[in-house]
Amino acid sequence: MQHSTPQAPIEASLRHVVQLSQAAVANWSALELLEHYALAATEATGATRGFVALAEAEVGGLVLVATAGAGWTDEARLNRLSEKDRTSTLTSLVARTGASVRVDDARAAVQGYAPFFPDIRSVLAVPISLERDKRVRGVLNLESDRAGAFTAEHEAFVQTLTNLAALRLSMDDLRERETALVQIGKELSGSPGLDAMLDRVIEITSHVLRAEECSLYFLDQGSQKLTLAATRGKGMRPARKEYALGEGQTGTVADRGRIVRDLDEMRAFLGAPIPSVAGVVGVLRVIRRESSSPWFPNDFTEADEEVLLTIAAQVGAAIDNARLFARLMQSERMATWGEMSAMSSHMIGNRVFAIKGDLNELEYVLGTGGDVRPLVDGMKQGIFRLEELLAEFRDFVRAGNLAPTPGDATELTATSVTEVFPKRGTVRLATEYTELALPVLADGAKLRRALSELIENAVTFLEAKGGGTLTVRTKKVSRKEPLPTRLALPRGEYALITFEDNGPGVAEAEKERIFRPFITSRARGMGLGLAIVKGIIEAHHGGIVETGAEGQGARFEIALPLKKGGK
Amino acid sequence: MIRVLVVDDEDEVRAALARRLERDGYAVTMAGSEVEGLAALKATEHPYDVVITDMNMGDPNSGMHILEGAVARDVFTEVIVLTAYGNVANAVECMKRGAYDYIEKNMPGVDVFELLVLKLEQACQRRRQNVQTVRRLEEFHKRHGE
Repeated sequence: MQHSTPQAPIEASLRHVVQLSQAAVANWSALELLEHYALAATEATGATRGFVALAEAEVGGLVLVATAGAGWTDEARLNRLSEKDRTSTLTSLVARTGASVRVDDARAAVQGYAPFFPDIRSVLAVPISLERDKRVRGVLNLESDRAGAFTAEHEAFVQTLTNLAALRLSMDDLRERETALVQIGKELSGSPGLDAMLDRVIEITSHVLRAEECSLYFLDQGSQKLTLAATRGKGMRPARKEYALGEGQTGTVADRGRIVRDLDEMRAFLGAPIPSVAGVVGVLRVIRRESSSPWFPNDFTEADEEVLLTIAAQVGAAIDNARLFARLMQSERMATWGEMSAMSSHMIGNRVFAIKGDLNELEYVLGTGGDVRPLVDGMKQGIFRLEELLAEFRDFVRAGNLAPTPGDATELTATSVTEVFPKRGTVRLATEYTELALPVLADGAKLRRALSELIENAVTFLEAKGGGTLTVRTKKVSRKEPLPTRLALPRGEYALITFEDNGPGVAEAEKERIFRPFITSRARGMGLGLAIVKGIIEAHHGGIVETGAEGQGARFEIALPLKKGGK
Repeated sequence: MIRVLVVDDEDEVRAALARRLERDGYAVTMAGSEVEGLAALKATEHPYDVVITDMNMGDPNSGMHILEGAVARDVFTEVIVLTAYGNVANAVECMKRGAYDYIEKNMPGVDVFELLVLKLEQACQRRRQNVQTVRRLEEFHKRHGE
């Protein structure tokens, strides 16, 4: 430095700026970066000390996040921006106005200046803000015990730092929002229940928009009223559970189909319409309490508007999807009904035809004299078979109507096995039940009906083969473990129930087909057995697949989602 | 004795049909599927006089295949097709291709077994007439032929 040329300071500061820019995008946290900048600014300007304070909504004011230089103690850090200082210090002034302040002698220049450090003479305070944000995120503050310590060059240098810091903070915000939006997208496509899904969406929305209250209202098409569907608040509850169209800010959003942003003495309001192909179907709104600090703004920004609109649009799309899906299911069910009526008229018709044959013979035998007993027995059998068909039909139709109660998957499995598995015979039973609790929400009777069908199937095939072993297992599948392939279920915790036998097994081409209605390799019934099983399992938000190898045996695997909050 | 082949994949249906036809003195052979039916048509030394077949045995066109098999074996064999109630499209198609008639299994208020016996008699009559007509034609050709 002794031989420094006039260019040297520029070169040095250029080098410095390059380092600082690299730091801005380096693999540091934002707070580490601010520490680094506080130190860099203090050293570069020869300040006695420096600090960075950030505006924190939850505190409603500035919070010290980084310090550098002489004289800092824990006490000093805590007190530097106390309640009293908020309106009196130069830091607060900069936060309020968004303009830099450079003072050569603070005590002389600022009336009532009450510094925490008594030695302060000159002060340079620069706002950390991006022009497009229209708000100050914080202040980088430098102090010196010398009068007139800071120059215009110093100010320009610190401004470079604060710009970089603001960029980085803004980038972190954007990243957080992006993550939240992706998360919401996942929730909307992955969650099985609408209520649970909406709760998660509300939770993420209130977090990313720092809202004290976030609520979702659905528009009832009949009454034209908005009704609260989900809400989440930090010490704030929605004032009303219902709004008429056009009533209040929330009603206005639905009425006009436009976003509403509003700020009054009490609160900041932001509400977005939930769009769908059928028009507005609801309102998603967020509310922030008005800040206790007179200068700290708590209103929503245009960026917030965009986020809320995006989330509302995603919710709308998810609702459209759900409706489309319901319609699709409906038409699929109608197709199945058509097939079903053809099939049942065939099967029931044949039974009735045979009974009519017995009747015809009965009339003849009554006229000629002879034994009527076999004919009566035949008719009885025929009517019983008809009743079996009707029961099967009913089970198939009702597979999806559940009355779920909390239960344990292993217990339900064990009960079915005890009830159905033959006490004696050529088929051996092996059980491998987990010790872990498998709490599920299940319709016990329906689920046992499904499991029993699988046990009966296995036993029938094994008996026909002359014997074999049925192995029944239960197991807990954690969020990280993969489920059997072809089970298209969202990630989560599941109870896995397996029925494995060493019977003939299922051919690769048949693995999906066997679950369709009217497919049977057994003489009796309508072939609805496995379709009923699948219907019941899917009504429980679970899945069933056959994963055995043909010739070695069948293996049915059932995954049931574990009840959340279960032990 | 008039020989009848009954093709149906339902045991009870087949048994009921056979019992009723045997009561009226027909010689009944039974087949439990389309494949069995076709095999029976091929295996027999003397062609069946009448074939009674279910329309739908897994394949909705099973009855049609049996009809083709029967006519291919002997052009005079008469075929009666049994269909599910209200499902006559295929049966009508069978008649266009030469089946004698079709009977809906579950016609409300009708004793289909009596109806079947009636149709069976008529089918036998037509068969006899057809055979006679052809014989006369043959004799005519013999007498007036070259």
